[in-house]
Amino acid sequence: MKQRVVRRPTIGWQILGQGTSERRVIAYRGDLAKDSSRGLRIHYGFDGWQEPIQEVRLESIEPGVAVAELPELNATDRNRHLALDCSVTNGDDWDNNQGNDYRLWVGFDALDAHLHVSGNGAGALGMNSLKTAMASAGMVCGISSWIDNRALDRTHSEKAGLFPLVWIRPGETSRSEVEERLAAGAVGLKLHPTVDDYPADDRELDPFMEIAAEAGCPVACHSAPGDADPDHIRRLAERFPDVPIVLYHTYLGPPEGRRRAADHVLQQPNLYLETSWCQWRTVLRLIEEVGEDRVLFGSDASIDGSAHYARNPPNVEGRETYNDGLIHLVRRLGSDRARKVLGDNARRLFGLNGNSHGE
Amino acid sequence: MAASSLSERVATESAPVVRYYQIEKWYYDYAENIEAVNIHYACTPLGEIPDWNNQRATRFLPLVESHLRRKVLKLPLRIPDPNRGELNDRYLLHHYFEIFADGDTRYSSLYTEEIVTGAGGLPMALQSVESLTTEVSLLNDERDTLDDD
Repeated sequence: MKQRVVRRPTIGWQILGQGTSERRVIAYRGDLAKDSSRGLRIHYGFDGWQEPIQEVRLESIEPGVAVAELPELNATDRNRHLALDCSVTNGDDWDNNQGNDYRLWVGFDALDAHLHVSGNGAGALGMNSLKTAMASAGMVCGISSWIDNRALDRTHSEKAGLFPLVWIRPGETSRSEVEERLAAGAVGLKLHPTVDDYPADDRELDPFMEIAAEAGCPVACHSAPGDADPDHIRRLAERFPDVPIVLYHTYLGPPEGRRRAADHVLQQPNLYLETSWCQWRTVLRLIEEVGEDRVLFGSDASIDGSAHYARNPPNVEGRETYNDGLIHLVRRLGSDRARKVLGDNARRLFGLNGNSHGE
Repeated sequence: MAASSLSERVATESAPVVRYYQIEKWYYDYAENIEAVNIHYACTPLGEIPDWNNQRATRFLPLVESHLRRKVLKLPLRIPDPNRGELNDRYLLHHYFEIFADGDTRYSSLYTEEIVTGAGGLPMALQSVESLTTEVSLLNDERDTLDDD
């Protein structure tokens, strides 16, 4: 089923006016905008809060919505900046996204191809933590899954910009359940051979792969040593060449496995890499190796809670945060390639809304 | 809560060659808000503690009936015991449960129990021979399947 992203983020880009009077503004819909009598200001910096830090007034344009036009983002020099990092204040109170700040990417809407949400609870894997984390990284939407499909039934995925996968457990999941969930809006299948104890090329997967082929939806598969080894995943991909298969994490293990995963992607046209827990230099190397059309950014959020993308100490191989790494990565890739990796590839594969040119 | 009633058997009924020692682990959902339960486990020689970073295996425990989760773990018949210089069929199984509830992750106590598979010990030098035997048995299984076709 083709999906359109429908969302009302706390803070996001918006176009006001038409034609020559068109203005690109930041629109704030958070708690502080509920009281229009208080003057709101947006406090911001670019590309990871680099100096100078600025403030500009937000104007109320309707109840609950305040907007601001940032002088740095006019048509002539907007390409100098990659991302806006910001928070909002009314002079007394701050909305800094629960201490994580907000990020907006300049020129495209980023998508995270690997998310988890367990339900509506208040914990790290609950919906509120995930939404906060995504807002801190400028992720406007994403592909989500949970180890028990029933838990996802209790969440409002669409409102949060989440596109669910159907978790497949051979011997337990029924064909009819998969078909029903795909018809209800799920955008693909999820395999986790490690925790579910089967090899990734298990013949018991074939009925589910046939459903994916028929529905034209991709399969995301955990990639790691053992049952989820990329060698197994490749064999599955060879049996079902019409089904795109995304290797989640590329390979959650030593570099040798990542190289093997990349080799398989080069040789098997329906394989793709997802990059959660890879440092940005590794992601860059993978992109150089297999091409920017075959790599999807993902983070595994919000395993580490609302600070997932900016955790201290850093959680990406203990050395960097996603937010810091993405600034470096996007700068090195340039906007066209970055748009693909941070959104367009996933939107194309999962049948979402076209491209990442968010405006 | 962290119930782990035990049922043990050597997997001889359906396989021509024994490859695993199977053990069942159960978990009773003590609350309605449990969203998933995983079991983490590792095997060590007697008297040793696991290196969880390198030895951990993780399995999801599916609900088999209301509030009751069950998983059959496939354990090795023997594990290397460097101190004794042999492959030992007596070893320790360490496990704990990871419980997801309301988006939070909680952990049970760590449980340790002695496993005796009954497969008998082997000199360490035969480890590669045992691996080869397992591969041969797998090949035989595949051939049997083809013959059936």
